[in-house]
Amino acid sequence: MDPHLHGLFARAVDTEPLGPPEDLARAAMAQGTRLRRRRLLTVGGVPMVAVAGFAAAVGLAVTPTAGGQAPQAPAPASAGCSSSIPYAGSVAYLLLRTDITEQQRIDLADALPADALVQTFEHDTTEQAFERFKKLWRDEPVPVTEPTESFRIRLDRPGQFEEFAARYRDRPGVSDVVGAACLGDAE
Amino acid sequence: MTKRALRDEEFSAFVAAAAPRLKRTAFLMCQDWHLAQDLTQTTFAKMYASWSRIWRAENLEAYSRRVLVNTLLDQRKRRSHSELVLAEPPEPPGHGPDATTDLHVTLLRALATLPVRDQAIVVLRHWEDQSVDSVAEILGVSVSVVKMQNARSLQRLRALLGEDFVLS
Repeated sequence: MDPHLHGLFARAVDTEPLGPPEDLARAAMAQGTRLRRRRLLTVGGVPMVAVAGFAAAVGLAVTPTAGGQAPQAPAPASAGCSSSIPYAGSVAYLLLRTDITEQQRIDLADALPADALVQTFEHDTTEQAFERFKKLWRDEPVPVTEPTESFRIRLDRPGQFEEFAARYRDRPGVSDVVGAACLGDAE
Repeated sequence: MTKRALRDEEFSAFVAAAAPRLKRTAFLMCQDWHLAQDLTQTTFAKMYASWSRIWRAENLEAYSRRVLVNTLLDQRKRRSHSELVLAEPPEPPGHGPDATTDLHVTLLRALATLPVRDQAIVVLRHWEDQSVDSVAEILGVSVSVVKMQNARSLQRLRALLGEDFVLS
């Protein structure tokens, strides 16, 4: 380190404006959640055209703004993407962790048909979406080594999503539970 | 407490600890406090989007700098041509009592004329005091590239800042 240079840098950052501390973590979490949803929109196996149209309709940013970040709008009105707006549909996705074990997968596959909330379910591998997912993550220093799996669930009745999500969100092997509308799935 | 709530708490703690330093590094590379705030928030947002995968990583602070540099690179690509043209080399600072006051401003302007990665090398080495190995790991380049680009960048800064500015 050059001490003279360091001293000049120190003078430069002294110009930092003082002000009330912003809740940076909260803003980053909201923005990061939108980013994650946007990435999932291209890896859920849903056609891109339908996804883009749906995302625009519910105010999700599919492409970055000129400022390079998602807009600071409130959480989108689409259900299943915001915990403040309950999802009223009947299709949910169990998004699985990349490090899910075979036993955890089996346990989920055993639990779902025995669950009164579940009418039908199917297991989705997202091999086709994997290449798109890799391109999406090319600028991120995150190793992408496995595709994202999911179970697509048809609930027994509309309006059961919250109960279903509460039951499965923290189960081993589960990364997240989202309403189908959040992924642009027209059900 | 649910897993998600625990992870969110950990993320918030990480942001609280890392944000002040990251924002100042961002400022030195973009010379605009508002933009630095945006870049810092976007960096943390990208990390949050991957948080369940990365929260156990050994060196999240180093990781955050790589994401910051990539975010800045993306931002530069989207800037208009007219904005890029404005990044002209600065006039060498004047002499006299105001010379020292001007010098840090001139330094930032001079820094802005370097490619983004070279700016990152200079700021990480000489502001954050990161080692050559650490800078190489953060930027995903070899140690020899860091040393070479650091030397060239300091040479350029010396040329732009005038003879009163002596770098060791």
